[in-house]
Amino acid sequence: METIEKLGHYLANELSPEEAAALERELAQDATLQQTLDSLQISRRAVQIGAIQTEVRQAHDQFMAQLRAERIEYDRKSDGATIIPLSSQTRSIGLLGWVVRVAAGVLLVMIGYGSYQMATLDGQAIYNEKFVSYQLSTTRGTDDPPSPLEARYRAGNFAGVIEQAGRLPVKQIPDYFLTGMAYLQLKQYQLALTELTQVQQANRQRIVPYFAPETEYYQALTYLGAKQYRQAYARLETIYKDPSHPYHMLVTKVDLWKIRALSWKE
Amino acid sequence: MTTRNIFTDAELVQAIRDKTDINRALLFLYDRYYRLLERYVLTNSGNEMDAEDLVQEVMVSLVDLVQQGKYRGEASVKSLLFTLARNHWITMLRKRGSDTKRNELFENERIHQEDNVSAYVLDLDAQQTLAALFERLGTACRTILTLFYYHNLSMKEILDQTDYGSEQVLRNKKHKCLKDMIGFVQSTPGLSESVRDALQRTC
Repeated sequence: METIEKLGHYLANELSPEEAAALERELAQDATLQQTLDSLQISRRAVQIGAIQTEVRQAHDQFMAQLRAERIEYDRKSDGATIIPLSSQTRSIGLLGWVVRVAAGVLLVMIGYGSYQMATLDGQAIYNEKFVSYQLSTTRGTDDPPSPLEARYRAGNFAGVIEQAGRLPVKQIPDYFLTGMAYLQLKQYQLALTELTQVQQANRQRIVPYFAPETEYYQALTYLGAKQYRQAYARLETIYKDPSHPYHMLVTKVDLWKIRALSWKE
Repeated sequence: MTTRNIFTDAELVQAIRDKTDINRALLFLYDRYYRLLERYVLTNSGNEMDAEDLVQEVMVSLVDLVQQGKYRGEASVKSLLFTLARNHWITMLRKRGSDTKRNELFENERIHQEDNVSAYVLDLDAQQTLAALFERLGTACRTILTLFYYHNLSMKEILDQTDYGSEQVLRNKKHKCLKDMIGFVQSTPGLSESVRDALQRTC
């Protein structure tokens, strides 16, 4: 049995009492072996702590995105609340009268603004506003060189990604996803949809799905780009309603309202 | 903030220990305690970024404590969180070389109240060293070793979750990942001794 494997079994209490005793005798006499055991133990703990940190970081990012949005909203409301001070003159004509006048004014402005927004709604503008180019993580160790497809994606060679994907004998989920992203970058929406649908279908077979939230968001954007507003609305609404969704912050109620309005015009 | 499911302390511990619902458990803890912990940092010579860093370290410690079976409900989760926060914040201040009167007061506070915790929680330096060690691995190694040592999956189950051609290929890859990691440990001066001491202290 390979030394590291044997030490691993020892740490996991998987050796027989005789084997464990023999190994302990060896450890007592061999400082290098003892050092390897210590290093293995440290490595296993590092994996546990690293995995926990990954879980915590994910929850942290989800929470902080929400908290920041909540605080921005709070600040905005606080600013808005001080816009119309009530002077002594306003009091002289009656508080209720002024409240009605202000409310009527606000209503008129809102109607005007709403009409203007409705007339000038542009799906492409919303798409451009919502589109965030998907970036591959730059954290990478020495043992894991990027695939040719990934390297092309990183280099921004999206046509090259599609060409490379076409030459793969078997496409894995990351290949489908990056190809979908490449089509999206080139605004070839229907082809992007095909690739992203493949990601979703493949993920149904997996316990740990790949790129699941990313696929949901970019699929919504793809529908938006393709002017299929009802489908875009349905997916973005799901993301909006799920505060733990990593892309939740990118979808606002106003976005949903605009896309719903576009779907009426459809 | 959107209302989340309510967890009792026992449910939190179970969700974290079983790793079944850990994300929701963490979001619940964040939702309930983040602002309090942030206020603690802000009123004790820290800023918002410090609060973010501190809370993440505290959550890592809490999850690790629970998963190592060292938290058995002796104190409430809230109380444990604040004890961890205080200990880690003192360590952070100390690393900054800050020696104001306020910090001295904290030191005294810790000596009186928190020493019982430090006996079983991994100290912040060791925790950060271990996390940095993990980060040095590539994505593939991180995935395999996490599935094996954290999620306790068998090689066959890991094979189903990854794209390796066979169990033997996967086994070889895992072996190489471990060897790389052991290499990192042994090639970093002082790492082995300092972390080993911390691990032994909390065993």
